[in-house]
Amino acid sequence: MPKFLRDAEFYEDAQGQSEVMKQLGAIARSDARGYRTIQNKITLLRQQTLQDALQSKLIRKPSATIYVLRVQSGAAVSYRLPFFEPLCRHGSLIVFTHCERRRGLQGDAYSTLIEQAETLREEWIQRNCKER
Amino acid sequence: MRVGDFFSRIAEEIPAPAEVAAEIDPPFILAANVYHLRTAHGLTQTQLARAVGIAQPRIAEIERGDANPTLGTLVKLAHALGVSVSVLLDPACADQDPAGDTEPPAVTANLQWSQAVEELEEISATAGAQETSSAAAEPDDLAQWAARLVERLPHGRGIRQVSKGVVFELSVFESTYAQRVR
Repeated sequence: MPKFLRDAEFYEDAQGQSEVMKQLGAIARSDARGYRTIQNKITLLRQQTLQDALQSKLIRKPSATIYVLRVQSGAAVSYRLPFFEPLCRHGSLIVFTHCERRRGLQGDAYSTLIEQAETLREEWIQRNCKER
Repeated sequence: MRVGDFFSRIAEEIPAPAEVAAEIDPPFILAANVYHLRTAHGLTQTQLARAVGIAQPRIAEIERGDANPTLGTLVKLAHALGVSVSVLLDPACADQDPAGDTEPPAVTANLQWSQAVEELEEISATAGAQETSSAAAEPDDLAQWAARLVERLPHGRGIRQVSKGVVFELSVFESTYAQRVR
């Protein structure tokens, strides 16, 4: 196994529901190559520092707390996976909140997605970083 | 849920089509290996790009798995990182520590080369002289340029230098150009 700098999780709410896992499951059924590319990109991201990943444009940082993993699958299909790094875990974990097709993120949809990711981040931290 | 557990579950529930499952992913193997070797040697993307003779965004593209570099670029990358091309494409490479913690000799030499070229270009610009790059220089200018360059490099012979996309063999370089003005 490659050396990973951090763990990675998919967001789940208090009831164990996860939109991002549903989205990824749907991609695995409909776009096997895209799903595989997402897997590979997540693996690459786990091996790199976030600073290096930003420099390589593997990820973007559209807000102070949310990063976005960029995945190009084939010529016309791209995915965007927002994630956050909870400070209470000392940079040892990233949590993916969504996996959206780029085509569906026109106009205000992208900023709405980032806002949703920030909301999930706050909820996750309240639930998992109580000791902080 | 951890991503590894999720991916394992999906692999069981929704097996990938055979043609996808059988594919290997060279761009991602290359990306992981170049990143691993570059950081292990303490190089920035810019330093590696300069040593290879390509632009920094190209290194970034390789390290994010979006590039499909030519064989020539692969050879130069491997040389600059002190490994063979097969190591760059070895899925197990990122599991191993490269021999030694310092920059590979080729990179060290290439950085010195780059620094020497920069210095010479600065000298040239200051003096208002003509272009010093090998591609544009006349043979006589190149001979003088080469002589000054060779004097500045600690390794006179047997070091392959890669700069600006051109591969030089210093021993040849020295014998064909530098000796003409000595």
